[in-house]
Amino acid sequence: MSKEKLLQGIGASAGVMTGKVRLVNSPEDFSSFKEGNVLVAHITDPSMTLIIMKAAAIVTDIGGLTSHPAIVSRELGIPCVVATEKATQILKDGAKVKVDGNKGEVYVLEK
Amino acid sequence: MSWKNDLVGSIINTLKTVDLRATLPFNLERLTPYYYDLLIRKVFQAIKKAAALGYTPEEVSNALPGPANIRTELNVLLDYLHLIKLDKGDKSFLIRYFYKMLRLFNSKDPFCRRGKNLWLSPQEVKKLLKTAPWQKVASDIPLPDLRKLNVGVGSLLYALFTDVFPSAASEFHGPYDASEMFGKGSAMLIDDFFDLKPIALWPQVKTFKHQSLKVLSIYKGGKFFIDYYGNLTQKSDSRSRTHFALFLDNSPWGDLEKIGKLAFYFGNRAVREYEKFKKLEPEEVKKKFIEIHSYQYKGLFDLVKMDWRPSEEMYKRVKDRKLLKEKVEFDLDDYRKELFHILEPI
Repeated sequence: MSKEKLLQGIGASAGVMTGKVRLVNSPEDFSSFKEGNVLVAHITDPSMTLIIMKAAAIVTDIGGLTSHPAIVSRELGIPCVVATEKATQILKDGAKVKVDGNKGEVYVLEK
Repeated sequence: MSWKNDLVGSIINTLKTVDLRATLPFNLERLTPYYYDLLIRKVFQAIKKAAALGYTPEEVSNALPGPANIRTELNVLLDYLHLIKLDKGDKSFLIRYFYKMLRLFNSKDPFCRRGKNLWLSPQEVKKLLKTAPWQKVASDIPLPDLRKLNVGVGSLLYALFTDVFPSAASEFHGPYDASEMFGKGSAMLIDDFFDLKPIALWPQVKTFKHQSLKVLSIYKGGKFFIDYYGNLTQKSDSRSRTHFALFLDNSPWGDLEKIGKLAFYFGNRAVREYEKFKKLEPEEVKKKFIEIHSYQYKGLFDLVKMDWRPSEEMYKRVKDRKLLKEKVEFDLDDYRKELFHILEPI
């Protein structure tokens, strides 16, 4: 499967996972979030707790190793890449991506 | 000099991992300078009063949330020392008092520079290891649900105490040696959520079912580093968990089939409480921010019979004031020098 590295950020929680992107900008986006989706947001917050519990991985525009997305990802044992600066602009809903939390990289597998 | 090196070194190392833009609802520095002088002078009065009443620093430290909270507040104290209307001797006393309290928890590494956040004495650890309702992690133990439980309850704390003050109600502590009971290389880490129902702060939480949750975990062969603010900063932490035990409302809890349900309960509460927080008007958010900051010292104020709530003057200081400009990036080398300069006369 061909892959294209699209984003580089900080790997905040180890592991590698693939899944479909689901952009989360507001609570209206919560209902369409499915188990195994990759949660992509500017930053996560406690209002997203229930969808975070279903996520395969998390990717955010901002954040550090001690920010909310980093902490919850490590708790769940799912990969997380923070500080990509532009994940919500570049990644499209429904695209299949690989999130590498070890290297802090996000690859697009299918657009 | 070495304690100052450790203090400054640990703060700087921790700040390397922080993105200030991601702090919710806003960074401490955007509001704290308006009111901090009033709060810390009240804390100073309370400490003096406690001493006059015969309370030891150990008793005072036990009245405060936990070591991560004391370290965080020491950092705030250093940052805004120049704003405090106290003489040099009193400022020096305050810094040394915070340091003294931290040494009582962990005399070898009070600032977590070497990554250990110890809250319990060796005797308390021994007792806990013996009495906890240990469960072996196995295929029939729903580890994903256990992880979700931590996320649910942790997020609830973020909703109630914001991103800025989670240590007011929780402490992640350890690693404690558990090799005697669980074999060589075993360590115990504890997620302690001790104030899940802060009614004095949020009256609506009186209907919450639970006051506290403690999650004890045994890891084998893992290496752990807990930073100055009490966060575990390793990229991976859950792979080598061999045993766990839960205390719900200070009682052993072994209803494993209900862990998922409990995780959902806390997660759902986190969502609801944060939705309420997001609906607050900006003026209300500022008021709530200073209330949470003051609430951290509630135990101390209660000890000496002082009102924990912010004074009218504190509210006035923030009313109709714009949040200060966000300092997104700052030079850590400059900050290191600044901290040493502040500590020089201490």
